Amino acid sequence: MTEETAAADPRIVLVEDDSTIASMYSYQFEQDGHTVWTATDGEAGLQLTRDVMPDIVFLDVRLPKLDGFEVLARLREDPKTAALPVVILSNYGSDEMRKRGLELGAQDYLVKARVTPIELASRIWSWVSA
Amino acid sequence: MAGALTALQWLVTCGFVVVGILSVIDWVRHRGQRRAYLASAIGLLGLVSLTSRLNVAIGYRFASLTTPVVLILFMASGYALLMFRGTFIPLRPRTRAVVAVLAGATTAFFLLVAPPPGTVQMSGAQSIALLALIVVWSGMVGEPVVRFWLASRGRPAVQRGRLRVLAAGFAAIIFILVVAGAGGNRLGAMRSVQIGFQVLALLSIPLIYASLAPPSWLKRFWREPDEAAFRRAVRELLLFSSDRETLARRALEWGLRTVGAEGGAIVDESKVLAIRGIEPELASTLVSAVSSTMHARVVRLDREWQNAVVVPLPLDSGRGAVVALSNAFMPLFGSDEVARLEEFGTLITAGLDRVRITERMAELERTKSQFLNLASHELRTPLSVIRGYLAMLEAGSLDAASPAGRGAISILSAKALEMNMLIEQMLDAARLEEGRLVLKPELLDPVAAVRSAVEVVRPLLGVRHQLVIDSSADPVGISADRERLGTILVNLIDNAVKYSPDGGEVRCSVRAQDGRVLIAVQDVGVGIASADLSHLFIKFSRLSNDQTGHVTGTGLGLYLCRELARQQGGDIMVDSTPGRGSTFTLTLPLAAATEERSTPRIPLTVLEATG
Repeated sequence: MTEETAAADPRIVLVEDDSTIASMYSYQFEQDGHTVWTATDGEAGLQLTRDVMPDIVFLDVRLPKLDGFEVLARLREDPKTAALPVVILSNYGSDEMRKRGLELGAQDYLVKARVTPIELASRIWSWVSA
Repeated sequence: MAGALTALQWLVTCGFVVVGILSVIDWVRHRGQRRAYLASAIGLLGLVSLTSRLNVAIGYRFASLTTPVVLILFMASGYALLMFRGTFIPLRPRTRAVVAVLAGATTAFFLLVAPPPGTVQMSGAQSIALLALIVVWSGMVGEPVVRFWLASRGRPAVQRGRLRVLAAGFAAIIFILVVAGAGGNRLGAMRSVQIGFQVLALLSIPLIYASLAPPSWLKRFWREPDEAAFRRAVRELLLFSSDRETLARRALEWGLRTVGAEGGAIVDESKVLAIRGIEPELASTLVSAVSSTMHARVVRLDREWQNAVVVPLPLDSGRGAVVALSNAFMPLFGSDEVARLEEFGTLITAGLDRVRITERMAELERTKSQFLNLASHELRTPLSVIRGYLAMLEAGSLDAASPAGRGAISILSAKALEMNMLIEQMLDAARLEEGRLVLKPELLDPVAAVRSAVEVVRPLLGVRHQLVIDSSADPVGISADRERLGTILVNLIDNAVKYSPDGGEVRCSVRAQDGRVLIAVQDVGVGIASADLSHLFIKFSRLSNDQTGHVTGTGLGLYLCRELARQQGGDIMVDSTPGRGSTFTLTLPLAAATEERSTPRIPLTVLEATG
């Protein structure tokens, strides 16, 4: 708890094209006192991340314009965002997809249907401080 | 002893004459330059043998005439064998000329210094002339013998055998000539040596004959060593080939080898699976020869010395065939080759069918896992919202009574509905697949059906889309399964919304025309490229491009919709302009068309005029 109060509230970028899911996560994150920016496609998500320089990015895989893996790869290429914690949130649960995401440098690969917004919010610190 | 020798000499002569005649008959029957040369070489040898024997029998009475004739024929036979070899491995014209001159010169020289018949002791010049003669003849014949032996290596078993016995037969004759010539009269005077020569000559006859027309038992014998390797290879290729092309390629290789063919092909109904040493046009012409028979056929080609065996393959996927083209040294295929190839064809058929089934199974397996991936993703999307909001309501981070909480609850019911739709869709697709989809037609009002479909979809909409129902026409009735009509309409409207990401109007219109009801769902979305229209209704074929790659779906929706429509006597048509939007039109027969008695008369003419 000391850690949480000591640091500033993590600032979050959420890249998610399904507006229902995006507003659900945003609601919970805001309830917990985080600041959330959302983008509904890959290009906008990449731009938003560069502009805001958040503490963590939650990234969907299937996205319009630029898919999540591509967004992640570009974030890792850029020295400014190379170390930024990125957690993939997708409903694709295959091992290949998970492997690909982790190899590209995601902190974690989570299946949306298996994790509730409350659980996600409670784990934010483990990714940010890692 | 002398009688036995004479008898043996006559036997040899008869043998050579018979083989000579057979080779000439062979040439007369099949023609061709190559056969002409071989027939000359063997036929002339028979003639030489006969003339010399007669010469001896009549005590060299016409020796001054017969000796030159015998000599010229003898040299000509050697030259013919060299020409025969030239048809396989071409000789340079200069070499041919030099050999011809050399043969002519030595013949002339020998005739010039020829000793009178019956001379026992030869002079020096005479010995040299005889030696030169033998050397030139042996060279003309020996070179092809060595060539044939060398060329036999790496050839199919039967060809190898034929080349080798031919080489061996002529080698025996050269041996006799060289030893007899070198040994001179001293050796010739020894009866046992004479008998040995005759026996050797006698042996060379069946060898030469066997090379000309090997009997099938001999072919089988030649093939024996290859046979084990052949069986092993065939077993392996039939059981373990990964795809049809690989199997066909390897099978063709062995098929050609086993019958000693120059080239061939294995074709499927519409496709050449493997081809080697034959033009594709010729292969397809040959294949058409068995288009209406189940039995192998021998086809004579324009090239007179060549024919082909065509074996039909009754494949699972349609008719196929194996073609084998005879080659230069094995000019014509006989019943042995046909039988072997036919037997082999049965194995190829079984093998190709086996691979096809394996390929189809693998394809199904791929489709299945692809579908499971998509389906689980599709089901998880609403599920993640349901789980998420329920957990938040439960934990109290979201108050059910607050405006946000009430919004969440309506989202929850929409998502539960979406999941149910997906599940129904999958179940219907499975029922359709297994042919146990039961439709319960009832008299329905299409406008009412559209209205209830719109109500189903409405909760899934954002603020950017407007749903408009356009039903200016008089009420009409259709006979359809209420649930399935709902499935179709909900799917079409849901697609219209999904594929117009920038929002806009989705217009549903109902009208009657030519005894049918047309329900059109029109959007102003991304549209569909004309190239993609053809696979729009194919199961699992989801269109994916920059604009739609992110849109969710199982790839079942439109396939299912069209099938459901068709099962009810209707269809779905599509009209689209990329960038401008799409219109999907469901047509169903008017109830009047099928249930004339129970429905009121419908004023079609009026509807057409207003529609």
